[in-house]
Amino acid sequence: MSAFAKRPGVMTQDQTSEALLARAARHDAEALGELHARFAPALLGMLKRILPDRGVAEEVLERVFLHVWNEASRYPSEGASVAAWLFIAARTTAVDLRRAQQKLPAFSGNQADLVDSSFSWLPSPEAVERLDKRRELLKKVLNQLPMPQREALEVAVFEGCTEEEIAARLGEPLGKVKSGLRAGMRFIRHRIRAVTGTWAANI
Amino acid sequence: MGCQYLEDLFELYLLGTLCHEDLATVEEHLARGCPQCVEQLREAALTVYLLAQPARAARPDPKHKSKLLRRLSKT
Repeated sequence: MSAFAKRPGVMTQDQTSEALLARAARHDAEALGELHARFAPALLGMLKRILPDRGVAEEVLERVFLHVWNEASRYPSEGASVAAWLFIAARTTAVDLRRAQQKLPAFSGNQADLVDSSFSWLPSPEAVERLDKRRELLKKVLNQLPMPQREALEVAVFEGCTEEEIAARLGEPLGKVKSGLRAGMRFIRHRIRAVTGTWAANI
Repeated sequence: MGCQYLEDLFELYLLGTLCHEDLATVEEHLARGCPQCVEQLREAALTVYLLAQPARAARPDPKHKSKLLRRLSKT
């Protein structure tokens, strides 16, 4: 089954994901079950890329939904995409675990705390909906990146490596890796703006 | 001074990829509560969301979901 068969950030059934989360905040377990049905397959697909042991990936998935249940009452009533929260929080949890398993240092800085305890960084549901509608096209756009940049981005996203670790891993100078990652992100950001029609609002 | 020059760092910040020096710069700006930085961070989260999408979904074991829902019903 393709991860893109559904657009989980969009109102695919009766209620938006944000409305389901609001119900979960009132301890409606059925609503959390609906969020699970909507997002768990794609989340597990991502988690398996980060944590190759399927059992461990499933445990992290369960932990993520418990976290959602516990934090739902603090979630903003509007302006924050549940889809983006789920994917980025799940990735952060899985990468933390992967790094611990490999005896690598935990994330430095406050990034993990920010993702864990704040919602101000989340894009709007409407922005995610616009992206989801064009996601197939945008994934093809990613293939336009030069192979070394794509490889560095994949290692960053799915292996949670730092710039220094990526440079060592790929046998490239640190400066080249840093500039390649930044250029890659800029390319993707600009393509998202162009494809979702938000360019004028961001320049 | 504007924060536009930090724009290329926010995706890498969310991913936990930045080197210490750049990490400190981003955190210093975010700690100021600068609206432009927050807006750039929100846009960066959109890029990270796209990058995190897997090529293939995976069907979770239904036993895990049942266990989760049983656990929730007791809270």
